[in-house]
Amino acid sequence: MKTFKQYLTESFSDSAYVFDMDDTLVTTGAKILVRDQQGNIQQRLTPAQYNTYIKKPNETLDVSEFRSEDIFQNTAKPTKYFKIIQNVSNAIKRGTSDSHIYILTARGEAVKNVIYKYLKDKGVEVRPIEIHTIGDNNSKSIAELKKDVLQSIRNKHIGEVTFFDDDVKNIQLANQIQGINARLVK
Amino acid sequence: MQSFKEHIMQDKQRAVSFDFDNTIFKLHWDKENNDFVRDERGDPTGELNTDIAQKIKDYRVKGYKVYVITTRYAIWREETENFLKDNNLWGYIDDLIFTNGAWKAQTCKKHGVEIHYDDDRDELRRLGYKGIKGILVKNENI
Repeated sequence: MKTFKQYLTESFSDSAYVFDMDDTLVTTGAKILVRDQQGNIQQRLTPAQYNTYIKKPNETLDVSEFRSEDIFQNTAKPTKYFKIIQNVSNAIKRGTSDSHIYILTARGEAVKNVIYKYLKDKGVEVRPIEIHTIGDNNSKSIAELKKDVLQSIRNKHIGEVTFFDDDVKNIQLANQIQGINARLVK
Repeated sequence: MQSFKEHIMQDKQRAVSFDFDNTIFKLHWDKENNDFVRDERGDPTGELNTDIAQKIKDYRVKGYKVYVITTRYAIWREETENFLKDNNLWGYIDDLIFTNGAWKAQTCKKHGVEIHYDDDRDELRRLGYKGIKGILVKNENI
């Protein structure tokens, strides 16, 4: 006879896939604007450039384009890694996988619905509650906030949790969580 | 007698373009891990698509301009260029163009591309709107 623990383990041995959005699942025309003290735009950085950019003391980084629904809707282009989320989603639909899909993005709440609709249009069903947008929270660095969310996802699942992100800092912090398999997207 | 414009149009060199990832560079898929096969640095591994390589050479011999147009960011220029050089394709290519994450239709149009080879159906659909013929390349690995 099964123990209660065995029952729980078998019933909830689900795995999870967690995907960053920008430059992991999609590329978009949104750029990080580097502004000088007068507010003039000095540079426009892609997320990949931003990941290694060293901000000068007199500069501010403007991420307003990442709040734009229009830019996302009109320019989002799936990367080659989109195939992974499609495969997981298809397996869930066929009933051959009990995985869960999460989105974990540095974008703000304002684009949650756009992301949801975009994925749905591409045949990927992710519940809005499982799209984590941390961009409105300034209490910690992006990497630390992502780590917190990953920890909460880790706590919900007994199976493996696989995390895809294009930023080395996010991957490094994610790897500090036991049971997270963090994969850098290049 | 031909008009000057007709003369210019006839002399215009025809152009074809090829996507890089999963078109020229055939990625290896790891079914068990549901990810691309990766090397020790974590980079996805792959191999030359020899059919496409032959097409690149054939178009060049026919007198076409040949472009490689990739969505990759230009920070990958060296790596991408080296792959083309290592596989003896560099001499057949007129230009290697990075769209830095953007769709390719505008770039193809700008370079007068008539035919574009790609593994992405959405990309080909968008090319169609610009009157560019798209040819789907399938990777049996994925």
